[in-house]
Amino acid sequence: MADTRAVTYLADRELVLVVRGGDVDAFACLVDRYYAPLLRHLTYRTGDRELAADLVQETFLDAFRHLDRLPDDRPFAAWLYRIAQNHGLMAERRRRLRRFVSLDRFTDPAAVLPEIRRRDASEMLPDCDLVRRALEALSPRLREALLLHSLDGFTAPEVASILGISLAATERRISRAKEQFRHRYDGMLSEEGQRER
Amino acid sequence: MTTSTCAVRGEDLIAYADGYLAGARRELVEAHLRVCAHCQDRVAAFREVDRIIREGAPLVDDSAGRVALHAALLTQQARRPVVPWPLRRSIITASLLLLLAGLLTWPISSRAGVPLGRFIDFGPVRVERSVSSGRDAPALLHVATAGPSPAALIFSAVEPPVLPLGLKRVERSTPTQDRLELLYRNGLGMAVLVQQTPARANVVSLDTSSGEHGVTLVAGIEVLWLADPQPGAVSWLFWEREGVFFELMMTESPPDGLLLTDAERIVESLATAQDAVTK
Repeated sequence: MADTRAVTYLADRELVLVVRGGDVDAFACLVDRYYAPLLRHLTYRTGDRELAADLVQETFLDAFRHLDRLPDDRPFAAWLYRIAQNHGLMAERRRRLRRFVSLDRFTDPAAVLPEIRRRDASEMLPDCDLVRRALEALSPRLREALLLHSLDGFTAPEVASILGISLAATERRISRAKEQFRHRYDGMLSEEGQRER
Repeated sequence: MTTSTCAVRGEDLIAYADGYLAGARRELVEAHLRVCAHCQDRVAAFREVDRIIREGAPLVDDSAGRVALHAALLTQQARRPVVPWPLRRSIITASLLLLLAGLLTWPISSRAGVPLGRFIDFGPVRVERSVSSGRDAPALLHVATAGPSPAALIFSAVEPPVLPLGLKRVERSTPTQDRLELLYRNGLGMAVLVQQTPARANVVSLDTSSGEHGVTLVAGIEVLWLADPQPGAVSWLFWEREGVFFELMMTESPPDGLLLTDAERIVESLATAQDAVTK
């Protein structure tokens, strides 16, 4: 096993090589590096902290299982967020289906699928802040692009590879998302100001 | 920020602000920015949005989640294959070729006579569908069969090896004695799960506030669909035919999702597979 303090300072690419070389403990360094940013991203994306925490777990476990398949020319972070993106899409689909049961299974409560609850907005995030409200007002497509670019610091080409769309479409989304966000944020800010007066 | 009438578009400004704009396009934007106060404001506003979002969404630690993840990784580590992926891929390919060679030399019999699994079998079971009158009351089941007893012959399921869109069956399981699950994948990043259960009194309860849904008619079958976040695409379909309740779910989606017209082709293909078995 490599010295954890030493591998902490390695770049993502080198850490991936260390893990592939057999030192799987080095993966913990990648977890430490990306756990909190990914949790924040998914929390703002899904609007549900608990769900986001579950998705982070699934994303890292998936990344660990399939690390051998990471293409050599692809940055680890973009690849990790691409996995998270797929898990986010799946979760979005799952929670839209409130319940699906066959009535003959009512006799066996254990066989009934757990009800997927859409959480109330008030329990999603600790504070009902302007940034969250302005982000929630955006369409999911624009919000996703904006979060990846502004919050997570990915460049537009990286965002394009995560979302699996063209660079031109990504740039358009980011540009529109920023303009809409600013418009809504300023509107909310002035509403708050008027209310305080 | 307002709508600009400038020749430089918002996406050019994004590329410029990100620092990857190069060549003639960069020179054009820089020349324009020197004389256009409006676009200078837009670039500044883009950067201001980044700042607002970063400051308004601070990182929050989740030590409990981190500990749980480390524990899960340790479990995974114990299960992790020792053989690296490239070698594993070669072994899998060789095994598949051997399996294929074995299958090609195996005596082929009628599909209808081959048992699907330990519990599920083809057979002329007819299950009448009834609807629950009370909210929690289970529906009465009226089972009529012309073949062996229902306990031995649960329902008539199908498992075509391929579906439209180049989808190939890659996994199959029978998690309970009255459920068959088939996973199909294609080379375009799409994976769909097809589940089949006896059509007794299946209820689909939807959260209608969170997404579009509707019913489409495919070869006389009423198919309930749920829309995907991608416009024009669907992610979940339900239908009932020949005593079988089908559920088709997208588990991995390509960028454009699954179009309803393509989903209809899959439904039709499964109906054809049913006809081939039952008629």
